[in-house]
Amino acid sequence: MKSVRRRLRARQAASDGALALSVGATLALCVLLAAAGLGPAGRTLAWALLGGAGAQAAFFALRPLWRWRTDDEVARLVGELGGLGDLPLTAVELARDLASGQQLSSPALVRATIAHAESACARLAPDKLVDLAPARRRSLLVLGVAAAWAISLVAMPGRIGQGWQTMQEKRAPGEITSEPLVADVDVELAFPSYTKLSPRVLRGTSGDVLAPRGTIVTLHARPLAPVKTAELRFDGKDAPVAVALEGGNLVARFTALDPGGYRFALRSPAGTLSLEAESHRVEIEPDRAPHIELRAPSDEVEVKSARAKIQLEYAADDDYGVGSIDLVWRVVEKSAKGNKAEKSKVHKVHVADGKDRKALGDRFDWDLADVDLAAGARVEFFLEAADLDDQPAPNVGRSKSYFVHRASPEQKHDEMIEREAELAEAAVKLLADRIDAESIDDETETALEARALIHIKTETFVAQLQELTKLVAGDALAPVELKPSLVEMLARLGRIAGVEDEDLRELRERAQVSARELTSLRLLAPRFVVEMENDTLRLADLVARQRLDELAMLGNEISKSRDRLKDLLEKYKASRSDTVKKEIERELDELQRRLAELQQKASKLEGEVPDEYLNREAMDDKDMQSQLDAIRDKLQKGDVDGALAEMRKMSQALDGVREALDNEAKNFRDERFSAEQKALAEMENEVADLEHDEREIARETDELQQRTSPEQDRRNKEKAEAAAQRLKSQVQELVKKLAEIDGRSLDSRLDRSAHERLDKARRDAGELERALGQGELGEARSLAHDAVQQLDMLAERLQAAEQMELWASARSPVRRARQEVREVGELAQKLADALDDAMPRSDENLSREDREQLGKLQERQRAVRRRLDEAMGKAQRRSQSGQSPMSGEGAQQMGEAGAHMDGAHQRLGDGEPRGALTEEQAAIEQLGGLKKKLSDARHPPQSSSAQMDKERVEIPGADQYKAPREFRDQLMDAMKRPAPDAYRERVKKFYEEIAR
Amino acid sequence: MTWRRWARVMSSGLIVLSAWLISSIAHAQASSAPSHIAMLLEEWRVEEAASEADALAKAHPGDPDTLIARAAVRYQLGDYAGALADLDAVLKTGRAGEDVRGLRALIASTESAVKGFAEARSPDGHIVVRYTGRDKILLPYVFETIGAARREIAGRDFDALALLGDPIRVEIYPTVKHLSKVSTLTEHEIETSGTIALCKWNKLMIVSPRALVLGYPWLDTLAHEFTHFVVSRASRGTVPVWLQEGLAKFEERRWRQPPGGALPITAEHLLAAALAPKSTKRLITFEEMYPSMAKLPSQADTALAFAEVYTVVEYLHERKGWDGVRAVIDRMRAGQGDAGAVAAVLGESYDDFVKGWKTWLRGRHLREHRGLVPTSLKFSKAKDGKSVDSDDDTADITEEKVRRFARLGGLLRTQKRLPEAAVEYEKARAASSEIHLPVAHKLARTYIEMGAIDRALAVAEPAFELYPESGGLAVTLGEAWQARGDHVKAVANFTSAIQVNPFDPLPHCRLAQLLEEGDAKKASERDACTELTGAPQ
Repeated sequence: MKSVRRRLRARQAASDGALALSVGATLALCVLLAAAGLGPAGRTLAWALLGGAGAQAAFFALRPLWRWRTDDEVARLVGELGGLGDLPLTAVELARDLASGQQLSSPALVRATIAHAESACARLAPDKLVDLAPARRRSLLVLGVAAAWAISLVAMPGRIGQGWQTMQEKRAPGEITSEPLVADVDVELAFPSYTKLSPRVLRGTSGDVLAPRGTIVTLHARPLAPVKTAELRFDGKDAPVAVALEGGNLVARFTALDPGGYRFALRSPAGTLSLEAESHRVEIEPDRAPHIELRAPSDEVEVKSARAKIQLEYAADDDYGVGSIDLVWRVVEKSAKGNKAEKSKVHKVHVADGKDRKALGDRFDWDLADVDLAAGARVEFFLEAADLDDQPAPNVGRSKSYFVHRASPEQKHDEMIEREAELAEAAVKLLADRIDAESIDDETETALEARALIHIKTETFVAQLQELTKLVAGDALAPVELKPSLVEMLARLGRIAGVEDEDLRELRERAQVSARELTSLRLLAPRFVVEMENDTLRLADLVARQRLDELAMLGNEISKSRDRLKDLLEKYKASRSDTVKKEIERELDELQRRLAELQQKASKLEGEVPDEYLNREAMDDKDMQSQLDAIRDKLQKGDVDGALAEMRKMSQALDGVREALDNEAKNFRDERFSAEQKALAEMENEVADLEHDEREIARETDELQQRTSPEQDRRNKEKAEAAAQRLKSQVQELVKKLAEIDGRSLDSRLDRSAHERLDKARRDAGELERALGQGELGEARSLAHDAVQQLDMLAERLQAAEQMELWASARSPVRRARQEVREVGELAQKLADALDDAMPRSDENLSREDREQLGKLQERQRAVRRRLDEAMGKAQRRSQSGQSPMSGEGAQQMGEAGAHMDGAHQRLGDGEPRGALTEEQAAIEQLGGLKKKLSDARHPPQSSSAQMDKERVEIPGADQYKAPREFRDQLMDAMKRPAPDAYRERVKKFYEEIAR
Repeated sequence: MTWRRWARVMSSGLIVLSAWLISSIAHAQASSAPSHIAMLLEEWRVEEAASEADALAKAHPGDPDTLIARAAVRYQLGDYAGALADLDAVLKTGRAGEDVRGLRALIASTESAVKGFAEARSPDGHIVVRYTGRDKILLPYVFETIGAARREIAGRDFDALALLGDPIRVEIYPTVKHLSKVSTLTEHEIETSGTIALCKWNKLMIVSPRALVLGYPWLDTLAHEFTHFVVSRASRGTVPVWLQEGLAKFEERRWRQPPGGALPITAEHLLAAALAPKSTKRLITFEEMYPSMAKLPSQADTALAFAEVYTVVEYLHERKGWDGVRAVIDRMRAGQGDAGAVAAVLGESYDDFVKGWKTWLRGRHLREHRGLVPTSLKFSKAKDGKSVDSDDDTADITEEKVRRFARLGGLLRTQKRLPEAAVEYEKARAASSEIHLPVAHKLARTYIEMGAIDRALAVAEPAFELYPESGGLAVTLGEAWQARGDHVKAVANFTSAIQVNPFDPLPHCRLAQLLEEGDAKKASERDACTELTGAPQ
């Protein structure tokens, strides 16, 4: 019975619950949808409906408990459904009577009846008695209602949300009136500063506001009834905004930050509070993000150098004004899993300057030194433009992304060298196999197979060699002799292998091969060994030579980087410019990267390059790294002199490295390569030696000059001060007399140049007075001489004019002017002479030791000059035999280097270290150029990284595809000339095409 | 021997420096005491100079001349910091000239070079060694060698034990750069001249064998320098370079064998070539050796001169024994010239002495060694002094054909194609009438690695006769003999190898295996093996 009741209650609860849930949910949905439309006024009705739904749900929840509360109901149902008639009910009633102690006719019979009913009921299965199917059917109704909710939530989320908000809203105190409370609403808008908009007043509005976020809104309205106090109530907000009463008008102010609505709430003098039924809308005008367009030379820009510059162009606009523009870039590493990107880095392109810039655009060069673009690396870049909106933060627009990657001939060359090294290794193995082939016993049965196997290995090697020969053509940095070497190797080896192949084919076709028949193969074996011996050594040498050349080139690049750094430090010392400092930091990074590369490449050399060509100590850059750190440190602390001193220290070490690397490559080339190459290398080495020695002389001259120049400056100053004192009155007299020369007397007969000369002489005299006062003796001397020259020439012009006068007399203004100019000229000459005397002699500041040293340097300079002459003679002879690139510009460079050496020799003899240094440096420059020329003769010109340093990738503008204007005009003129009739149309087309 | 020859050349330079030091001191002193100290230092009487300097310092503390004298003494006693303190005090007085500044620069450079060095004293207390890092493994050998040399050379031969002072100071430098810092030589000069050790300023200075790719006979060199030390002390610095060199060469193997020994093959070859009847060469006269052997026109002449002086000492020793040698030194200490002293001791005129020596020399029937190719020291380019021995060590082979085959052999060895490598090395060997050390060495090694011991011995033994100072060849021979089961010869060869390149772990490890239990050296070889390989044996 209990279990039947439980089941009955469950069925009832499920059925009623589903019904209650369906009705309640349907009602709630309807109420929410309706509430959104009804607004605050319908809120009460909505809540009433919801209350009704709640009551209905409670009723259905309690009904199962009530319905099956007594045993009689359950027994009756069991009797009916179980086919027991009223037996269960009777048993229930009898049991109740028995329990109450009522007198029964036969208690035993009652008990037996109860027991019979119990056993009958026990046979019945409760689940068969109470079917739950109706409850399940009812639950389908719930699913239907749930679907309706889901559809509504998806289709009308706003309306439901609004309905819920309406239901939530507290009822504002006061009487809601549908009557208008205010009229003549004026809206005054004060826009936020970033919009640069002027304040605006909108008269007679509905009170609705549309403004950018952050706008200060001032409302002016006329109340339609007497008002004691007033306030603005914002939808969904508790705190009202106070409204002032000014001259009978209402004035309220608020800042428009979010969209919503507001209503006027007015209290009458009688205390009645009235509230507008409808809200005035506040809408926020959206501020769009800036629009920015970027143009690059191409979507995928390819550069050759890490120091290349890419030309970029941009145009940005914004509704209120563009703030800053940043170039954002990140290195994108291509990997098997896709692009792996580094964290973005930023380069400032435009900084907000507070000006009204709704649109701006520019073109600039992006220096890739910022990026430190490793060979083969790829970088994504784009522009980001931010507007000036500070409510709450700027909006940011982004341009299209572009990519730049560094094509790397070096990397390709490295890969080629690796392949060559692999081939060299394969050559050693094949040589070993070929040596083994010499000792194959042809009497054995397997002799032919053994020889065939080695032949297959040879063919594999030949195929590898062939492939490499093809690939080498694409290696711009490969030495010129590499390909011919490989081709020759291929031809020789191919020839012998071809013979062997034929023999093998023939022999294999035979059923039986005797040892005697293998004679031809046996005889080929030594030829193969000799060929492979030569090829093995040649390949090993080629690999080693390229490795060493690579290092030497890297050493030179390091030196160049060092020189740039040195220049930048000097520049920074003078200017203290942040831009220069940034350049220095970049150059330091570059140098560090190069040193690391040197280390890494040097480590590969072991095993491939014989020991005698490796100077491991020179390549150990630990000291240089610490010197680089020291330079950085000093620079950071603002100690530029200290940084320069560290730079000088490092400079010597770097020179040592470069020299060692050059020597290693040079020694190797000298030792292992051909006569022609050797001749070129020898010439390059000679020039390199000369450059080195000249550099040494220059270094020592510089040291001497550095040592003596402070003393020289001091003495100059002393002399200048003394000269200024002594010559002061003469200079003043010169200025005065020049001023007294009557310019008008020159007017009639002299051209403008005469006036200009006079003016120049006057300016010189004025400047002379100043220079002397400042102790600039050299400048004063130069000005005095210039004044003398101007006056002399003026006098000559006057004399010529005088001769033109037919009646020249003592009173002639021209003659008078000439005499005056002569007199002043003599005075200027005296001054110039006095200043010449005052100039310290170039060698008078030198100590005896310094003069001795200058003498020694002069001797060395003479010796270097002599060697240059010898080298020139040799070069000339080679040039005649067509072996040298020394004709033309090369020979001229040699000649110029010689002239500068002569100059240096002369200046050293005159005791002028400063002048000598200039000449020496010029000679070094010429020799350096010459050395490069010779080096280029051995390497393809693409190998020059110096060319790549200046690389600039430009946007291919429309102009670049057009011929220059003059050219186009000429073409069009030419086109106007008549052409033969048959060709007229074709000629026209031709001109149009090329002029496009 | 190149390095020794140049050591002497540099010694003469250092004598000049010493003279400058003395004269500078003498010049700087107004009183006679500092001058006397300078003179004592010049005569290698350092202990006497030290006591005089102490007494002088007590009597005149702070006197610049006294401080300079004491600094010079302190420097020679190895107290570099003390010497610098004295010279700095002099500099503060403003009375220091260029000479004092020069001296200070040398001492400061020395102090910085040995900064961080450890110091070890021999068990008997007579030898103090300054060293650094891995050079610790050299200590037992240094103590043994100088101990024996002290006993034999200073004690028995020169009877000069009492003159040595105590302790004898040795400094071992890890790189050539260090030697350059403590001497007046540049690195370039050291590398090109082969100068590897010096005896000057009352100490023995030697570059560690780890600074050279293949090592060098460092223990003989140490004994050679020790001989200079003894002769300088015994003669009070009066023996000229040529005789110094002859004596040192004569005694350099004394620590391990009787005096003299066989004439070095190189020397014999040069002398034989010069004495050959139809030779275009001739002996260098003693007159030509003045003022310095380094002034001779060619390296070959210098090498011949060194060979000659070696035989002069041999001749002297043969005729008059050690008494005669000591008598020559005594006479020179007393002020007699070198030629006069030698002639007087021999009891004949100088011309007769020269004639007699030449006759004696011819009577030795010296022979030329045709296959000999002069070798040179190979300095390690690695900064940490680690030796790098590669398969392409053919740089010294001047015959192009030989060199090509040897390179091919090396390339094949790198690929572990040993029989084929042997073929190429054999071609290299056959291509020349000379025995090239790299070819012989690599071929013998290749045979050993192939297990062809007989062939290895057949290649290595004649080569080792020509190049007894090749450590690599000694190791190869040791391995071959060990494989053959001849442990006595194996031990002898491994021991020789250590005397050239003690940083090769193999001979130490093999000796640790081969030496009898109870042999005192067994434990030290085991330690060295463990130290160098990092693995316990």
